[in-house]
Amino acid sequence: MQTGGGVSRPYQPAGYYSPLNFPEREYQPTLNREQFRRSVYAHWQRQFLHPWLLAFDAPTREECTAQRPTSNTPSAALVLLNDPSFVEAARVLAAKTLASNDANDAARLETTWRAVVGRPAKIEEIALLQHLLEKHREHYAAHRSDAEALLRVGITEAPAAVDVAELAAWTSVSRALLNLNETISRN
Amino acid sequence: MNLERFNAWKRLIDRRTFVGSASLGLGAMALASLLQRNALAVRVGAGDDGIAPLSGSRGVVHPLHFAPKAKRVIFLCMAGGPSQFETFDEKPKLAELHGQPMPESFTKGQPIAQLQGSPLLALRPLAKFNRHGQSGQKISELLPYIGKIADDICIIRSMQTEQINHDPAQTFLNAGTSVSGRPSMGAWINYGLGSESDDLPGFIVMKSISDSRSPQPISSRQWHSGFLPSRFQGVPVYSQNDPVHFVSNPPGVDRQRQLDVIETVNGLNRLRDLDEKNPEIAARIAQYELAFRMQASVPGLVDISDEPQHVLDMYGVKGADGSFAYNCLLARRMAERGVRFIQLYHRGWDHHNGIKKYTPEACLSSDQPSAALITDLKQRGMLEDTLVVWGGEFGRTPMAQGDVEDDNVGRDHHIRGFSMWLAGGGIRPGVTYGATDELGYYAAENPVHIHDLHATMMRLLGIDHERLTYRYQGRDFRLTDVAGHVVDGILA
Repeated sequence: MQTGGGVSRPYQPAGYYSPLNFPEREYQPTLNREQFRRSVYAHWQRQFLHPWLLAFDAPTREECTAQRPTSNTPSAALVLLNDPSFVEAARVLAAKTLASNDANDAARLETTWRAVVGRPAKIEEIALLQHLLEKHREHYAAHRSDAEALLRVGITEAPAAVDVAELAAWTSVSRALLNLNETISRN
Repeated sequence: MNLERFNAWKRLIDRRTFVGSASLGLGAMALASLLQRNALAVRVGAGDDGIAPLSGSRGVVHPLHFAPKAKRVIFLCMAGGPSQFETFDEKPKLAELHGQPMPESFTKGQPIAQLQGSPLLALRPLAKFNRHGQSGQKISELLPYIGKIADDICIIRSMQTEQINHDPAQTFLNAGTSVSGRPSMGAWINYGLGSESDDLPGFIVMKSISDSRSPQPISSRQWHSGFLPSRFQGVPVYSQNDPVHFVSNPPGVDRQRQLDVIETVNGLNRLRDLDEKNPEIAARIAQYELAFRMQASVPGLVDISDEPQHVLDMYGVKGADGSFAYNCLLARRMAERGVRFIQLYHRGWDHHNGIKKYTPEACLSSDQPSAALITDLKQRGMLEDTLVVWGGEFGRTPMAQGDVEDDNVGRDHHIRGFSMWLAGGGIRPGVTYGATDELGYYAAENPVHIHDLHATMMRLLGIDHERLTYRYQGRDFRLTDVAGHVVDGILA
């Protein structure tokens, strides 16, 4: 992982800076691997924080903040569910899962669960994910253009050798994992 | 485990029983939530304020301090500072002094924004005033539509504020202080009253731009919740792309597929909660349910295809174009759906120069939609419990900025006296309250400070502004801080 270096501009809704002035500005996201740098390198607009920074209570840095509030809002849920940064992350996680040597779904779910949550999964937990995986595997096999649309989110190329329906179904599993309370909070 | 925590825990168990007994299992959860408001309104503890964070929940002021006259507020914020001399405050004496120095007795020692070091010469009013309605209220010819609702509105000509530059003055108008990091009025009111809507946020903000003179920026600080729990912060709604950020599913994900993911998330969170018994998890589950409902309700909110043509014409709406007219129509739709505090920023009133061109333009863009909103609310029987406020963060100087005879002349920022109007929700209609001096410099009669405006708004909503407090950094804060008086003279 690179330390130091330049600024990273995460994807951002079009026109988000239109209430700003002096000067008016057009936002251009970073369109190479720098896009995925840690948020400490992210562009920071004090008057207008990126929606995901705002949704997760980042201070605006307009004044000293000794203690951040920690909220639990529908805005935060919408960011984790639908912000292309997180959708792309889920898809890349799914591709990693499918590239592993695990023999079957259950083993792959277990490996991915451990990577994200950091503890062994319970049987009921694997069962819920398995249920989602099977439903979406079936759906995306019958709706391949939907699968392709989902896999086009973000700038990372999807692996060519993997079936799109399979990758899309595993992307759903990854999205679920990346949205868990246990994943995003420390306790 | 104290009693309060035990009860919270017990309610969670009841909630699980409810979930478990739904014969359709997890799949019925979203529908069940929509039908069973109580299932959602379960108090799940959470914040340091100890109140329920969920939709349909009540606020901390319970019961209300007063019988409420208004249930919601629509704040039409004319950002930049409209000139009172061309809108609501007729000053014939100022015309007599045109081009001459303002008497020093008015200006000496007073704060000045951009006119520092310039000669302070009087600029005559640049619009004619006419009497309107049975009340005979005097309103500028630049606002003919507002003239037609003269009998419905209360004009305050004696507003005062404390900050002479835009950003701090906006902050003062919203938070009752120029110090950033304090909650805005929309956040305070939602904190106090809770939400009336099951599937929309209680505080929504929209923005529009009026004209070609470079509009002032608006910081997202203006709708921040400050030290209040951040679920009370304003949610911006946009007229283009996603109306709320990330409210659309990712490409290739339809509503059922999204529901599948959310149900898996909530199912896994519920399993975890069996071990942890953490109220934050229950709150997270409810927020995902609300997010999912918002994904359906927000598109319905902004889809105006069900509005009849005569309503669109009344506002002057030509489509989802981000205009003030469109935003006013959406404000009514939000009010119908139970949004508690609706704030529309209409930017472009900062007429340091070109006031002869820009003020008529800004008036034109604001006049018809503002009046249509009042008329529309009235026709639907909603004006009686909706408080509408129209005004900017400050007014403009009786002095000219630039050469008084130049066509490009303007007016500077002014804080000692300016105008606003209010309507509906317990406001006395058809009256003008307060007055500035003969040159329009000071609020000379019945001055109304921004703190007084806040105190009055809260009173109409049923809140005693001195009793809605929040302890932070060792002391109790309130919207009006240590000031503010209810303006009895404008109450119906």
